[in-house]
Amino acid sequence: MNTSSPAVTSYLKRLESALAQAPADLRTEIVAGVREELDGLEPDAAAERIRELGDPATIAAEALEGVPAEAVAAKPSSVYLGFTLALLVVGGYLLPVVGWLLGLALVIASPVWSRREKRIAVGGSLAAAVAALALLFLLRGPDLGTLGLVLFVGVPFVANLALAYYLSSRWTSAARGNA
Amino acid sequence: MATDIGAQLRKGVVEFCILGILHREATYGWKLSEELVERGMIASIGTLYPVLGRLRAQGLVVLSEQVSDSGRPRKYYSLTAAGVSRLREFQAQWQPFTSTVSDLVGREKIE
Repeated sequence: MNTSSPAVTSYLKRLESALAQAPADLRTEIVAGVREELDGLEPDAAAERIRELGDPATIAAEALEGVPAEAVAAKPSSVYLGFTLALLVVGGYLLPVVGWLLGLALVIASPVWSRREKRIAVGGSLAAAVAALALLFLLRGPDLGTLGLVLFVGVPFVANLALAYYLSSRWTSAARGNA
Repeated sequence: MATDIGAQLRKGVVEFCILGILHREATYGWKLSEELVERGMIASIGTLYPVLGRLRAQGLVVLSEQVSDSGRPRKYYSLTAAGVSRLREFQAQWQPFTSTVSDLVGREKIE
């Protein structure tokens, strides 16, 4: 993998965000097609190519025109996304395990986040759950049991809160990209 | 709302133009897009990929990984046998079609 200049990275990110409503395969293909052209270019040449390519929002609009209407994801409402993120953070406490899994499922199902962002969120959340279980297991016994329990409850909460913050920040940048 | 005549016409033929370019030579997305944009057949690279996706879904075009001249890995699109025969069908109809249309709309410039 070639290293990309910050301008290229930022352009690709904007392109990906602008394509949030496009089917995932199409989004991946467009971004990969542009990336293979921009990767490894000198900064000047890359800037010239980026000028040729034009505004990511325009590219996305033209791509969406070529897609059947039913394949275009509706712009998700902020209520839905708020619900998804709330479920991710507190779902597991309201409805043990199931609430949290439902939150993860909604994150995966949402077109707003890229595959990479979903991988980070789901992977991070699962890792926190595994860590919490491990802590509960390691810190058992009369002295440490309470600490283990606190960490068992607290670690996933803090981790999911951080992940929800990350997802919401990625979502706002996607929303800007579509504007 | 008045529709753009050029855009309507391009929509109908752009996939065959892509098949034609790929019949000459397998190539990668950027190069395809550059040629089509230069010739005014598509507005931007955004128009290209949904068409390429459809052509691949129909088995007319396939994707392969190749290393390009400058050593950068490129995904090359090339025509399948089905793609070639589709292009041949189009070629066979295009000439008679354009000449019929020209007859009907009139070849003289309307003053």
